[in-house]
Amino acid sequence: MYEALHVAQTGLTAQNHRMAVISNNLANINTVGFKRDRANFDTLLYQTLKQPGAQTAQGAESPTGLFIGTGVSISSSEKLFNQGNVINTDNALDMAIDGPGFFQVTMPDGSTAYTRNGSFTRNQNGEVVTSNGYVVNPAIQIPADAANITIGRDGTISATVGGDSQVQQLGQIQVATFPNSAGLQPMGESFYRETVASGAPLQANPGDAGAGKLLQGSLESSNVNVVEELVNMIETQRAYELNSKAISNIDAMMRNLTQST
Amino acid sequence: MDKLIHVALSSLRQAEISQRVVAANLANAETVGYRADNARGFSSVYLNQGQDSLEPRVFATTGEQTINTESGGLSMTGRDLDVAVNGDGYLLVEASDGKSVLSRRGDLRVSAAGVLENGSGQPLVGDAGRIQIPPNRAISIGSDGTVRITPPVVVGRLGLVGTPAAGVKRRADGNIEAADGNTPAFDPAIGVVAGALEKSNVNSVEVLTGMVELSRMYEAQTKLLKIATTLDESSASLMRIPE
Repeated sequence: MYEALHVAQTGLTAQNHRMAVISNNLANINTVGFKRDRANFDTLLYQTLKQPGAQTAQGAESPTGLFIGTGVSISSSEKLFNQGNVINTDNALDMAIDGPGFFQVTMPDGSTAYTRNGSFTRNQNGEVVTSNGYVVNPAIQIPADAANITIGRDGTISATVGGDSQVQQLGQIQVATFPNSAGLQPMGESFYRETVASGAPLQANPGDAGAGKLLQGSLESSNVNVVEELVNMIETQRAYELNSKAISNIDAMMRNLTQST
Repeated sequence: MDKLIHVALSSLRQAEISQRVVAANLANAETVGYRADNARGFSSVYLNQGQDSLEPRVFATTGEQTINTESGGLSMTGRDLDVAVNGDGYLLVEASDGKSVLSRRGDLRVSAAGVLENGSGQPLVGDAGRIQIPPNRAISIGSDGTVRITPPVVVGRLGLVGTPAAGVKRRADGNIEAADGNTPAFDPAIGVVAGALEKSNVNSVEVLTGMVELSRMYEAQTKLLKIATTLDESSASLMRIPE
Protein backbone atom coordinates (compact mmCIF):
# COMPACT_ATOMS: atom_id res chain seq x y z
CA MET A 1 0.00 0.00 0.00
CA TYR A 2 2.81 2.37 0.83
CA GLU A 3 4.28 1.61 -2.60
CA ALA A 4 1.08 2.75 -4.29
CA LEU A 5 1.35 6.06 -2.42
CA HIS A 6 4.87 6.60 -3.76
CA VAL A 7 3.81 5.68 -7.28
CA ALA A 8 1.06 8.30 -7.17
CA GLN A 9 3.54 10.77 -5.74
CA THR A 10 5.82 10.38 -8.82
CA GLY A 11 2.79 11.37 -10.90
CA LEU A 12 2.29 14.54 -8.85
CA THR A 13 5.97 15.47 -9.14
CA ALA A 14 6.00 14.95 -12.92
CA GLN A 15 2.85 17.03 -13.45
CA ASN A 16 4.30 19.71 -11.22
CA HIS A 17 7.39 19.91 -13.45
CA ARG A 18 5.24 20.03 -16.54
CA MET A 19 3.24 22.90 -15.10
CA ALA A 20 6.51 24.76 -14.51
CA VAL A 21 7.46 24.24 -18.16
CA ILE A 22 4.05 25.49 -19.34
CA SER A 23 4.22 28.55 -17.08
CA ASN A 24 7.67 29.37 -18.41
CA ASN A 25 6.33 29.14 -21.98
CA LEU A 26 3.43 31.44 -21.13
CA ALA A 27 5.70 33.88 -19.30
CA ASN A 28 7.86 34.17 -22.43
CA ILE A 29 5.02 34.74 -24.83
CA ASN A 30 6.41 38.15 -25.80
CA THR A 31 10.11 37.28 -25.68
CA VAL A 32 11.67 37.82 -29.10
CA GLY A 33 13.09 34.60 -30.55
CA PHE A 34 11.85 32.44 -27.65
CA LYS A 35 11.32 28.77 -28.46
CA ARG A 36 8.83 26.88 -26.38
CA ASP A 37 9.73 23.83 -24.27
CA ARG A 38 7.93 20.55 -24.03
CA ALA A 39 8.19 18.21 -21.04
CA ASN A 40 8.78 14.58 -21.99
CA PHE A 41 7.68 11.82 -19.64
CA ASP A 42 9.06 8.35 -19.28
CA THR A 43 7.88 5.35 -17.26
CA LEU A 44 9.99 4.39 -14.28
CA LEU A 45 11.35 0.88 -13.68
CA TYR A 46 9.05 -2.11 -13.60
CA GLN A 47 9.03 -4.45 -10.65
CA THR A 48 8.79 -8.19 -11.30
CA LEU A 49 6.17 -9.86 -9.13
CA LYS A 50 5.94 -13.00 -11.22
CA GLN A 51 8.52 -14.07 -13.75
CA PRO A 52 7.10 -15.13 -17.15
CA GLY A 53 8.08 -18.71 -17.85
CA ALA A 54 7.87 -19.63 -14.19
CA GLN A 55 6.37 -23.08 -13.74
CA THR A 56 2.78 -22.96 -12.58
CA ALA A 57 2.38 -26.73 -12.77
CA GLN A 58 4.15 -29.66 -14.35
CA GLY A 59 4.59 -28.67 -17.98
CA ALA A 60 2.69 -25.42 -17.63
CA GLU A 61 4.37 -22.03 -17.54
CA SER A 62 3.21 -18.55 -16.73
CA PRO A 63 2.81 -16.96 -20.18
CA THR A 64 3.12 -13.29 -19.35
CA GLY A 65 4.20 -12.93 -15.74
CA LEU A 66 3.34 -9.89 -13.69
CA PHE A 67 5.28 -6.64 -13.80
CA ILE A 68 4.18 -3.56 -11.95
CA GLY A 69 5.20 -0.06 -12.92
CA THR A 70 6.64 2.19 -10.26
CA GLY A 71 5.48 5.46 -11.74
CA VAL A 72 6.62 8.21 -14.06
CA SER A 73 9.55 10.55 -14.33
CA ILE A 74 10.16 13.63 -16.41
CA SER A 75 12.82 12.41 -18.85
CA SER A 76 13.68 15.60 -20.68
CA SER A 77 12.43 19.00 -21.58
CA GLU A 78 12.83 19.67 -25.21
CA LYS A 79 13.01 22.94 -27.13
CA LEU A 80 10.67 22.98 -30.11
CA PHE A 81 12.30 25.06 -32.82
CA ASN A 82 9.23 25.74 -34.96
CA GLN A 83 9.38 29.06 -36.77
CA GLY A 84 7.80 31.92 -34.85
CA ASN A 85 5.84 34.69 -36.51
CA VAL A 86 7.85 37.44 -38.15
CA ILE A 87 6.94 40.92 -36.98
CA ASN A 88 7.84 44.00 -38.96
CA THR A 89 9.63 46.68 -36.93
CA ASP A 90 11.28 48.86 -39.64
CA ASN A 91 14.36 49.11 -37.43
CA ALA A 92 17.40 48.76 -39.72
CA LEU A 93 19.34 46.45 -37.42
CA ASP A 94 16.47 44.17 -36.44
CA MET A 95 16.89 40.80 -38.13
CA ALA A 96 14.84 37.63 -38.21
CA ILE A 97 15.97 34.28 -39.55
CA ASP A 98 13.39 32.68 -41.80
CA GLY A 99 14.30 29.00 -41.54
CA PRO A 100 16.81 27.10 -39.45
CA GLY A 101 19.95 28.73 -38.06
CA PHE A 102 21.16 30.86 -35.16
CA PHE A 103 22.99 34.15 -34.81
CA GLN A 104 26.42 33.73 -33.26
CA VAL A 105 27.31 35.97 -30.36
CA THR A 106 30.64 36.35 -28.54
CA MET A 107 29.98 36.27 -24.80
CA PRO A 108 32.02 38.39 -22.34
CA ASP A 109 34.04 35.27 -21.39
CA GLY A 110 35.07 34.77 -25.03
CA SER A 111 32.85 31.74 -25.69
CA THR A 112 30.32 31.67 -28.48
CA ALA A 113 26.59 31.56 -27.77
CA TYR A 114 23.75 31.18 -30.22
CA THR A 115 20.44 33.00 -30.37
CA ARG A 116 17.35 33.50 -32.51
CA ASN A 117 16.81 36.96 -31.05
CA GLY A 118 17.86 39.42 -33.77
CA SER A 119 17.11 42.75 -32.08
CA PHE A 120 20.58 44.20 -32.63
CA THR A 121 21.98 47.69 -32.09
CA ARG A 122 25.35 49.41 -32.36
CA ASN A 123 27.68 49.99 -29.42
CA GLN A 124 29.99 52.97 -28.91
CA ASN A 125 32.59 51.42 -31.27
CA GLY A 126 30.02 50.99 -34.01
CA GLU A 127 29.99 47.19 -33.68
CA VAL A 128 26.76 45.27 -34.14
CA VAL A 129 25.73 44.02 -30.67
CA THR A 130 22.75 42.26 -29.08
CA SER A 131 20.42 44.16 -26.76
CA ASN A 132 22.61 42.95 -23.85
CA GLY A 133 25.69 44.51 -25.51
CA TYR A 134 27.40 41.29 -26.62
CA VAL A 135 29.19 41.49 -29.97
CA VAL A 136 27.67 39.59 -32.87
CA ASN A 137 30.12 37.19 -34.52
CA PRO A 138 31.61 37.79 -37.13
CA ALA A 139 32.14 41.33 -35.75
CA ILE A 140 30.93 44.02 -38.13
CA GLN A 141 31.85 47.66 -37.66
CA ILE A 142 29.39 50.25 -38.88
CA PRO A 143 30.92 53.74 -39.13
CA ALA A 144 29.18 56.45 -37.13
CA ASP A 145 28.35 58.41 -40.26
CA ALA A 146 26.84 55.45 -42.11
CA ALA A 147 23.36 55.91 -43.48
CA ASN A 148 20.86 53.81 -45.43
CA ILE A 149 21.97 50.55 -43.82
CA THR A 150 20.73 47.63 -45.88
CA ILE A 151 20.94 43.95 -44.93
CA GLY A 152 20.49 41.48 -47.73
CA ARG A 153 18.80 38.10 -47.47
CA ASP A 154 22.28 36.57 -47.54
CA GLY A 155 23.36 38.70 -44.54
CA THR A 156 25.51 41.27 -46.33
CA ILE A 157 25.38 44.65 -44.60
CA SER A 158 25.91 47.64 -46.84
CA ALA A 159 25.51 51.36 -46.27
CA THR A 160 26.45 54.75 -47.63
CA VAL A 161 29.25 56.30 -45.58
CA GLY A 162 29.93 59.99 -45.00
CA GLY A 163 27.52 61.40 -47.54
CA ASP A 164 29.12 59.34 -50.28
CA SER A 165 26.48 58.24 -52.77
CA GLN A 166 28.39 55.02 -53.43
CA VAL A 167 27.08 52.02 -51.41
CA GLN A 168 29.81 50.35 -49.42
CA GLN A 169 29.80 46.72 -48.21
CA LEU A 170 30.58 46.52 -44.48
CA GLY A 171 30.45 42.78 -43.79
CA GLN A 172 28.31 39.70 -43.81
CA ILE A 173 26.29 38.20 -40.94
CA GLN A 174 26.69 34.44 -40.70
CA VAL A 175 24.37 31.90 -39.14
CA ALA A 176 25.15 28.57 -37.51
CA THR A 177 23.07 25.43 -37.88
CA PHE A 178 23.27 22.29 -35.74
CA PRO A 179 22.76 18.62 -36.59
CA ASN A 180 20.38 18.44 -33.63
CA SER A 181 19.28 21.88 -32.47
CA ALA A 182 16.99 20.31 -29.84
CA GLY A 183 20.19 19.32 -28.01
CA LEU A 184 21.29 22.94 -27.44
CA GLN A 185 21.48 24.06 -23.84
CA PRO A 186 19.41 27.15 -23.05
CA MET A 187 21.45 29.51 -20.86
CA GLY A 188 19.02 32.37 -20.34
CA GLU A 189 18.85 35.79 -22.03
CA SER A 190 17.62 33.88 -25.15
CA PHE A 191 21.06 32.34 -25.66
CA TYR A 192 21.93 28.72 -26.29
CA ARG A 193 25.17 26.89 -25.79
CA GLU A 194 26.57 24.09 -27.93
CA THR A 195 26.56 20.63 -26.28
CA VAL A 196 27.69 17.13 -27.23
CA ALA A 197 24.07 16.33 -28.09
CA SER A 198 23.60 19.31 -30.40
CA GLY A 199 26.73 18.49 -32.43
CA ALA A 200 29.26 21.01 -33.69
CA PRO A 201 27.91 24.18 -35.33
CA LEU A 202 28.06 24.42 -39.11
CA GLN A 203 28.62 27.99 -40.26
CA ALA A 204 26.74 29.09 -43.34
CA ASN A 205 25.81 32.27 -45.11
CA PRO A 206 22.11 33.00 -44.73
CA GLY A 207 20.17 31.60 -47.66
CA ASP A 208 22.57 28.68 -48.22
CA ALA A 209 21.06 25.20 -48.40
CA GLY A 210 19.84 24.18 -44.96
CA ALA A 211 20.21 27.69 -43.48
CA GLY A 212 17.43 30.25 -43.25
CA LYS A 213 17.52 33.63 -44.94
CA LEU A 214 17.71 36.96 -43.15
CA LEU A 215 14.86 39.42 -43.08
CA GLN A 216 15.86 42.99 -42.29
CA GLY A 217 13.59 45.21 -40.22
CA SER A 218 11.81 42.22 -38.71
CA LEU A 219 11.90 40.26 -35.48
CA GLU A 220 10.88 36.67 -34.85
CA SER A 221 8.25 36.50 -32.14
CA SER A 222 8.02 33.71 -29.58
CA ASN A 223 6.61 30.45 -31.02
CA VAL A 224 4.41 29.84 -27.98
CA ASN A 225 0.86 29.03 -28.99
CA VAL A 226 -1.45 30.26 -26.22
CA VAL A 227 -4.32 27.93 -27.08
CA GLU A 228 -2.05 24.90 -27.07
CA GLU A 229 -0.45 25.89 -23.77
CA LEU A 230 -3.86 26.43 -22.17
CA VAL A 231 -5.03 23.01 -23.32
CA ASN A 232 -1.82 21.48 -21.95
CA MET A 233 -2.38 23.34 -18.70
CA ILE A 234 -5.90 21.94 -18.30
CA GLU A 235 -4.61 18.46 -19.10
CA THR A 236 -1.80 18.79 -16.55
CA GLN A 237 -4.20 20.03 -13.91
CA ARG A 238 -6.56 17.10 -14.47
CA ALA A 239 -3.69 14.60 -14.34
CA TYR A 240 -2.55 16.23 -11.10
CA GLU A 241 -6.05 15.92 -9.67
CA LEU A 242 -6.24 12.25 -10.64
CA ASN A 243 -2.98 11.49 -8.89
CA SER A 244 -3.97 13.35 -5.75
CA LYS A 245 -7.26 11.47 -5.86
CA ALA A 246 -5.26 8.23 -5.91
CA ILE A 247 -3.32 9.39 -2.86
CA SER A 248 -6.46 10.27 -0.88
CA ASN A 249 -8.05 6.97 -1.90
CA ILE A 250 -5.06 4.92 -0.78
CA ASP A 251 -5.00 6.92 2.43
CA ALA A 252 -8.68 6.09 3.00
CA MET A 253 -7.92 2.41 2.56
CA MET A 254 -5.12 2.59 5.11
CA ARG A 255 -7.33 4.46 7.56
CA ASN A 256 -10.01 1.87 7.12
CA LEU A 257 -7.54 -0.90 7.86
CA THR A 258 -6.05 0.69 10.94
CA GLN A 259 -9.19 2.13 12.51
CA SER A 260 -12.07 -0.21 11.78
CA THR A 261 -10.45 -3.52 12.70
CA MET B 1 -7.96 -18.82 14.80
CA ASP B 2 -10.25 -19.49 11.87
CA LYS B 3 -8.82 -19.77 8.34
CA LEU B 4 -11.22 -17.05 7.33
CA ILE B 5 -8.72 -14.43 8.40
CA HIS B 6 -6.10 -15.80 6.00
CA VAL B 7 -8.52 -15.80 3.09
CA ALA B 8 -9.26 -12.15 3.80
CA LEU B 9 -5.56 -11.44 4.06
CA SER B 10 -4.82 -12.95 0.63
CA SER B 11 -7.47 -10.71 -0.84
CA LEU B 12 -6.15 -7.60 0.93
CA ARG B 13 -2.70 -8.29 -0.44
CA GLN B 14 -4.03 -8.53 -4.01
CA ALA B 15 -5.99 -5.31 -3.59
CA GLU B 16 -2.76 -3.59 -2.59
CA ILE B 17 -0.98 -4.88 -5.70
CA SER B 18 -3.88 -3.81 -7.91
CA GLN B 19 -3.91 -0.37 -6.31
CA ARG B 20 -0.23 -0.01 -7.23
CA VAL B 21 -1.03 -0.85 -10.85
CA VAL B 22 -3.81 1.76 -10.79
CA ALA B 23 -1.46 4.36 -9.30
CA ALA B 24 1.21 3.59 -11.92
CA ASN B 25 -1.37 4.00 -14.70
CA LEU B 26 -2.52 7.32 -13.28
CA ALA B 27 1.06 8.53 -12.90
CA ASN B 28 1.55 7.82 -16.61
CA ALA B 29 -1.68 9.48 -17.70
CA GLU B 30 0.38 12.02 -19.69
CA THR B 31 3.24 9.81 -20.92
CA VAL B 32 3.30 9.79 -24.72
CA GLY B 33 2.32 6.40 -26.21
CA TYR B 34 1.91 4.74 -22.79
CA ARG B 35 -0.06 1.50 -22.73
CA ALA B 36 -1.96 0.94 -19.48
CA ASP B 37 -1.69 -2.28 -17.50
CA ASN B 38 -4.92 -3.98 -16.59
CA ALA B 39 -5.24 -3.87 -12.84
CA ARG B 40 -6.97 -7.19 -12.40
CA GLY B 41 -3.98 -9.41 -11.85
CA PHE B 42 -6.10 -11.83 -9.83
CA SER B 43 -6.45 -15.55 -9.94
CA SER B 44 -7.62 -18.06 -7.38
CA VAL B 45 -6.23 -21.12 -5.67
CA TYR B 46 -8.75 -23.71 -4.51
CA LEU B 47 -7.68 -25.62 -1.47
CA ASN B 48 -9.61 -28.60 -0.12
CA GLN B 49 -8.00 -30.43 2.75
CA GLY B 50 -9.00 -34.03 2.51
CA GLN B 51 -11.79 -35.63 0.54
CA ASP B 52 -14.51 -35.34 3.13
CA SER B 53 -13.50 -31.98 4.48
CA LEU B 54 -16.17 -29.33 4.71
CA GLU B 55 -13.58 -26.59 4.86
CA PRO B 56 -12.51 -25.83 1.31
CA ARG B 57 -10.89 -22.44 0.88
CA VAL B 58 -10.41 -20.25 -2.16
CA PHE B 59 -7.47 -17.88 -1.89
CA ALA B 60 -6.80 -14.95 -4.15
CA THR B 61 -3.32 -14.99 -5.74
CA THR B 62 -1.41 -13.03 -8.29
CA GLY B 63 -2.61 -13.74 -11.80
CA GLU B 64 -1.32 -13.02 -15.28
CA GLN B 65 -0.82 -9.57 -16.61
CA THR B 66 -2.54 -8.09 -19.61
CA ILE B 67 -1.97 -4.79 -21.36
CA ASN B 68 -4.71 -2.47 -22.49
CA THR B 69 -4.12 -2.16 -26.25
CA GLU B 70 -6.75 0.45 -27.02
CA SER B 71 -5.29 3.43 -28.81
CA GLY B 72 -4.84 6.68 -26.93
CA GLY B 73 -6.11 10.08 -28.02
CA LEU B 74 -4.27 12.04 -30.71
CA SER B 75 -2.97 15.54 -30.27
CA MET B 76 -1.73 17.64 -33.15
CA THR B 77 1.64 19.19 -32.39
CA GLY B 78 2.79 20.23 -35.88
CA ARG B 79 6.35 19.16 -35.07
CA ASP B 80 8.06 17.41 -38.00
CA LEU B 81 9.44 14.58 -35.91
CA ASP B 82 6.25 13.75 -34.01
CA VAL B 83 4.50 10.72 -35.45
CA ALA B 84 1.43 8.75 -34.39
CA VAL B 85 1.00 5.16 -35.54
CA ASN B 86 -2.00 4.93 -37.85
CA GLY B 87 -3.65 1.55 -37.51
CA ASP B 88 -3.43 -1.40 -35.19
CA GLY B 89 0.34 -1.63 -35.06
CA TYR B 90 3.56 -0.57 -33.41
CA LEU B 91 6.90 1.06 -34.12
CA LEU B 92 9.95 -1.15 -33.71
CA VAL B 93 12.52 0.27 -31.28
CA GLU B 94 15.70 -1.09 -29.85
CA ALA B 95 15.63 -1.96 -26.14
CA SER B 96 18.71 -1.57 -23.96
CA ASP B 97 19.55 -5.28 -24.46
CA GLY B 98 19.66 -4.78 -28.26
CA LYS B 99 16.42 -6.63 -28.97
CA SER B 100 13.68 -5.05 -31.10
CA VAL B 101 10.59 -4.29 -29.03
CA LEU B 102 7.24 -2.68 -29.80
CA SER B 103 6.35 0.89 -28.97
CA ARG B 104 3.62 3.41 -29.69
CA ARG B 105 5.78 6.29 -28.60
CA GLY B 106 6.19 8.75 -31.48
CA ASP B 107 8.02 11.80 -30.08
CA LEU B 108 11.11 11.21 -32.20
CA ARG B 109 14.36 13.15 -32.10
CA VAL B 110 17.88 12.91 -33.44
CA SER B 111 20.54 11.83 -30.94
CA ALA B 112 24.00 13.36 -30.59
CA ALA B 113 25.30 10.56 -32.81
CA GLY B 114 22.73 11.36 -35.51
CA VAL B 115 20.53 8.35 -34.79
CA LEU B 116 16.75 8.69 -34.89
CA GLU B 117 15.39 7.80 -31.44
CA ASN B 118 12.20 8.22 -29.43
CA GLY B 119 11.55 10.42 -26.41
CA SER B 120 12.87 7.81 -23.99
CA GLY B 121 16.14 7.45 -25.91
CA GLN B 122 15.44 4.15 -27.66
CA PRO B 123 16.78 4.06 -31.25
CA LEU B 124 14.15 3.39 -33.90
CA VAL B 125 14.63 0.18 -35.87
CA GLY B 126 14.10 0.79 -39.58
CA ASP B 127 14.11 -1.51 -42.58
CA ALA B 128 17.92 -1.53 -42.48
CA GLY B 129 18.63 -1.30 -38.77
CA ARG B 130 19.07 2.04 -37.01
CA ILE B 131 18.17 5.14 -39.00
CA GLN B 132 21.15 7.46 -39.36
CA ILE B 133 20.38 11.12 -40.13
CA PRO B 134 23.09 13.17 -41.91
CA PRO B 135 23.73 16.54 -40.24
CA ASN B 136 22.36 19.95 -41.20
CA ARG B 137 19.20 18.84 -42.96
CA ALA B 138 15.48 19.21 -42.53
CA ILE B 139 13.75 15.89 -41.87
CA SER B 140 10.28 14.83 -42.91
CA ILE B 141 8.42 11.58 -42.34
CA GLY B 142 5.93 10.31 -44.91
CA SER B 143 2.66 8.56 -44.12
CA ASP B 144 4.23 5.19 -45.05
CA GLY B 145 7.03 5.82 -42.54
CA THR B 146 9.75 6.80 -45.02
CA VAL B 147 12.22 9.25 -43.52
CA ARG B 148 13.37 11.89 -46.01
CA ILE B 149 15.90 14.66 -45.67
CA THR B 150 16.25 17.86 -47.68
CA PRO B 151 17.35 17.85 -50.52
CA PRO B 152 15.02 14.89 -51.10
CA VAL B 153 16.87 11.70 -50.19
CA VAL B 154 15.25 8.73 -48.46
CA VAL B 155 17.44 7.76 -45.49
CA GLY B 156 15.34 4.91 -44.16
CA ARG B 157 11.90 3.70 -43.27
CA LEU B 158 10.41 3.38 -39.79
CA GLY B 159 9.85 -0.20 -38.66
CA LEU B 160 6.07 -0.41 -38.69
CA VAL B 161 4.59 -3.75 -37.68
CA GLY B 162 1.06 -5.01 -37.10
CA THR B 163 -0.16 -6.35 -33.77
CA PRO B 164 1.30 -9.89 -33.43
CA ALA B 165 -1.25 -12.69 -33.79
CA ALA B 166 -0.16 -14.10 -30.44
CA GLY B 167 -0.89 -10.80 -28.70
CA VAL B 168 1.53 -8.66 -26.71
CA LYS B 169 3.04 -8.83 -23.25
CA ARG B 170 5.18 -6.65 -21.07
CA ARG B 171 8.86 -7.35 -20.57
CA ALA B 172 10.66 -7.01 -17.25
CA ASP B 173 12.04 -3.61 -18.34
CA GLY B 174 8.53 -2.32 -19.08
CA ASN B 175 8.79 -2.55 -22.87
CA ILE B 176 6.16 -4.37 -24.89
CA GLU B 177 6.96 -7.38 -27.07
CA ALA B 178 5.05 -10.07 -28.94
CA ALA B 179 3.67 -12.73 -26.58
CA ASP B 180 5.61 -15.45 -28.43
CA GLY B 181 8.84 -13.44 -28.12
CA ASN B 182 9.38 -13.11 -31.90
CA THR B 183 9.82 -9.81 -33.71
CA PRO B 184 6.82 -9.31 -36.02
CA ALA B 185 7.40 -8.73 -39.75
CA PHE B 186 6.94 -5.29 -41.32
CA ASP B 187 3.38 -4.57 -42.32
CA PRO B 188 2.75 -2.13 -45.22
CA ALA B 189 -0.83 -1.61 -44.00
CA ILE B 190 0.41 0.28 -40.93
CA GLY B 191 1.23 3.95 -41.50
CA VAL B 192 2.03 7.03 -39.47
CA VAL B 193 0.57 10.51 -39.16
CA ALA B 194 3.31 13.12 -38.97
CA GLY B 195 2.85 16.19 -36.76
CA ALA B 196 0.68 14.30 -34.30
CA LEU B 197 1.33 12.44 -31.05
CA GLU B 198 -0.58 9.58 -29.52
CA LYS B 199 -1.20 10.23 -25.86
CA SER B 200 -1.33 7.69 -23.07
CA ASN B 201 -4.32 5.31 -23.34
CA VAL B 202 -5.13 5.59 -19.64
CA ASN B 203 -8.87 6.14 -19.39
CA SER B 204 -9.27 8.30 -16.31
CA VAL B 205 -12.96 7.49 -15.72
CA GLU B 206 -12.29 3.77 -15.91
CA VAL B 207 -9.26 4.05 -13.65
CA LEU B 208 -11.11 6.13 -11.05
CA THR B 209 -14.02 3.66 -11.03
CA GLY B 210 -11.56 0.79 -10.60
CA MET B 211 -9.90 2.65 -7.76
CA VAL B 212 -13.18 3.17 -5.92
CA GLU B 213 -14.09 -0.47 -6.47
CA LEU B 214 -10.76 -1.64 -5.05
CA SER B 215 -11.22 0.68 -2.12
CA ARG B 216 -14.65 -0.79 -1.33
CA MET B 217 -13.34 -4.32 -1.70
CA TYR B 218 -10.57 -3.44 0.70
CA GLU B 219 -13.14 -2.20 3.21
CA ALA B 220 -15.13 -5.41 2.87
CA GLN B 221 -12.02 -7.47 3.53
CA THR B 222 -11.10 -5.43 6.61
CA LYS B 223 -14.65 -6.06 7.79
CA LEU B 224 -13.98 -9.78 7.43
CA LEU B 225 -10.85 -9.38 9.54
CA LYS B 226 -12.99 -7.85 12.26
CA ILE B 227 -15.62 -10.59 12.03
CA ALA B 228 -12.91 -13.23 12.27
CA THR B 229 -11.58 -11.55 15.38
CA THR B 230 -15.05 -11.38 16.97
CA LEU B 231 -15.73 -15.04 16.18
CA ASP B 232 -12.42 -16.03 17.66
CA GLU B 233 -13.05 -13.98 20.78
CA SER B 234 -16.49 -15.46 21.35
CA SER B 235 -15.25 -19.02 20.95
CA ALA B 236 -12.46 -18.22 23.38
CA SER B 237 -15.01 -16.83 25.89
CA LEU B 238 -16.96 -20.11 25.70
CA MET B 239 -13.88 -21.86 26.98
CA ARG B 240 -13.51 -19.51 29.89
CA ILE B 241 -14.14 -21.06 33.29
CA PRO B 242 -17.06 -19.26 34.93
CA GLU B 243 -16.11 -17.46 38.05
